Amino acid sequence: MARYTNPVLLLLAAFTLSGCAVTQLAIESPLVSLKRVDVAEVGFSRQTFVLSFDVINPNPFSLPINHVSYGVKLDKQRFASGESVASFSIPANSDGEFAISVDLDLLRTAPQLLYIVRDSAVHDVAYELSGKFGVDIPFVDSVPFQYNGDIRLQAGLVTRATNHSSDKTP
Amino acid sequence: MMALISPSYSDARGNERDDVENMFRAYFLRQNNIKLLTKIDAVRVFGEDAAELDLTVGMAGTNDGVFGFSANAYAFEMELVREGDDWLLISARWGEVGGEIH
Repeated sequence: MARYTNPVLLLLAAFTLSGCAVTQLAIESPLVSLKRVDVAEVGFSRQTFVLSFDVINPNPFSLPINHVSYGVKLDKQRFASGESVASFSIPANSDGEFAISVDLDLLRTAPQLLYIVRDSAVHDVAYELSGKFGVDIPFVDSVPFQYNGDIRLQAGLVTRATNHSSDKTP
Repeated sequence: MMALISPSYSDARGNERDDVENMFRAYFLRQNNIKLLTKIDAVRVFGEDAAELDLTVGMAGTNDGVFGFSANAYAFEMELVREGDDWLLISARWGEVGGEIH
């Protein structure tokens, strides 16, 4: 004899079961660091940088990311900030990377940064990175991240970063 | 719970059955105490082996972790098929109530 199960009851049962979970674990903020800054284009009124980030997901489940907001300071001066729609997933207990292209007009908006960028060719410059990941899982809040490190401009207009500290945003 | 998800599950976000399992894992590992408020908006049955279910789900609960849950309610549009004697979820779309569902 066939058994027909009411789909509504089944789905509600599934939700009810999920509501019964009890655990002390919580999602951990991914560790995000600035890996590299490539100068893709330099013009009088516009400079295009490609910011490459390393990201480590310490959680035992993957994080599907649908939105990234970020801010980068060089030597405590705001260098770049913005938001970007994203579509990538960071595997569980693993790492990944992503890149964001930004257009700046440093001559107009932050001429002092030109000196900082120039000096970073011979000296490490401290950077501060902060932002949020939008996680494409219902009811899950955005996950903030923050990281401090040093960065130096390398030959060929490519900067490479060394990271020495991190702070998790509460 | 995963027994309720069809092996053929796929959705517009590109998720497959394993991705749904990952979401469940995220919930199970995150929450300390949570209650879901569900409202069935519509049920549509097509023949003997297909159905659609529209749900509005709100969340109320607490969490001992650093990060909390969003207080927003979500609208779900679920597609179910009958495989053998069981009704299984084969696709779903969702979004915050009042926002885009995909």
